Amino acid sequence: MISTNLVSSIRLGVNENLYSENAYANKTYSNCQIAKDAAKKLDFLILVIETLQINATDALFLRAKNIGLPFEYSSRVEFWKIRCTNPLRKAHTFVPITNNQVDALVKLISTMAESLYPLIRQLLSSKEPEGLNDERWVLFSTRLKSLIKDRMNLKRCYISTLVNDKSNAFFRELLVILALASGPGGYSRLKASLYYQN
Amino acid sequence: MLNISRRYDQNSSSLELEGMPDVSSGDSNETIGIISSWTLKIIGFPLLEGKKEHLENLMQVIVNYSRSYISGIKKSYTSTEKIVSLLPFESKHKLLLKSTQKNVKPLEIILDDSELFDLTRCLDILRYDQQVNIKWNIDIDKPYPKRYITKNVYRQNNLFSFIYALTSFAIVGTLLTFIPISNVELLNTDKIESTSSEN
Repeated sequence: MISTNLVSSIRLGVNENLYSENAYANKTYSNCQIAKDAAKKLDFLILVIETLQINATDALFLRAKNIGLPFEYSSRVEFWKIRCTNPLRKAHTFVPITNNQVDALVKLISTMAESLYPLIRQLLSSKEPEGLNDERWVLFSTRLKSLIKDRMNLKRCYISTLVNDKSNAFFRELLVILALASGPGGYSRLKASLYYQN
Repeated sequence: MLNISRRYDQNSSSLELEGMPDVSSGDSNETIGIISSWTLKIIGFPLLEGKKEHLENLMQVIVNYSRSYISGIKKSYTSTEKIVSLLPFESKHKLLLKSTQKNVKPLEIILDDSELFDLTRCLDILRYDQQVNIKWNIDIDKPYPKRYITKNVYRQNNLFSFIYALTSFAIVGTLLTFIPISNVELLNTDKIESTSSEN
């Protein structure tokens, strides 16, 4: 018996082409509709990426170019317009988010989550030193709250509750979504969570 | 015969697969078409090993659980052959593995979020690996019906709102009973009654 050992070394960020190639991603969502909170969820996920990575906006635009997304995802104004579909923003458009926009944003968030996975994992791990993780959480939640105050409509009860919430339950939920959106199966998983079946 | 081994490492999880190409389906020399064995190492827990069916059962449970977890639903899942289960356990997740051999107690593994994600990523890489040509019996990630989401996600919030409303109603109701009733109207009615009797 001839024996060969092939160790697969699938590194972070390398397997981007999988997203376009996988069979699951190509399945149709013909009998589905976009969930009402999809725009809100996507905008908040981008906000978390901005919290975790300094200069994340530039990184997002660069990544959008690299994965072959259209111009509107690497242009500041156009990208901001898409993000304004979140009704909780200070300035929001009344135009609903489209299927193509959801698809592109999911692709973008998924690839960004892949590179940020080690950081996300650290925040969610219970095996990290408690004091150190508490400090990380304070830093993370403070920065995210300041971004929320900057961008979101504070007159909204939901936003004011979020800013004053000390349990950070929603922020943890967002990190869980980002963690599960990373990796080769993350794209289809995140996309499925943003739709309802009719 | 060509024996191939592949390894998938993700922080706390390491999955190793051994197999051979399925010549009848035209696999290349580097593609695994038939799995002979696999081992899964999760740091801090016993080594898991088994056959293809066991791996498929584990994959079904992890993939379904992760799919519902991303939608904010923490729900128990059991594999089709009922040998692997994953259920929420406080803020963690309890993985139950039943051995197919007799007189072997089921193995319990408590995973935290990060370990669950590592395991999910490990299995994701395996199922999307083009060097592994195996059809897994796994549900594809599809959207849930709206009713299912409403039932599972908003149930807790609704219950909380109901209890909150009931408590506030009881408190306000009790406080209202302590407010003295104005005698003005009673006096007025007395007057009216007395005048009517005089007439």
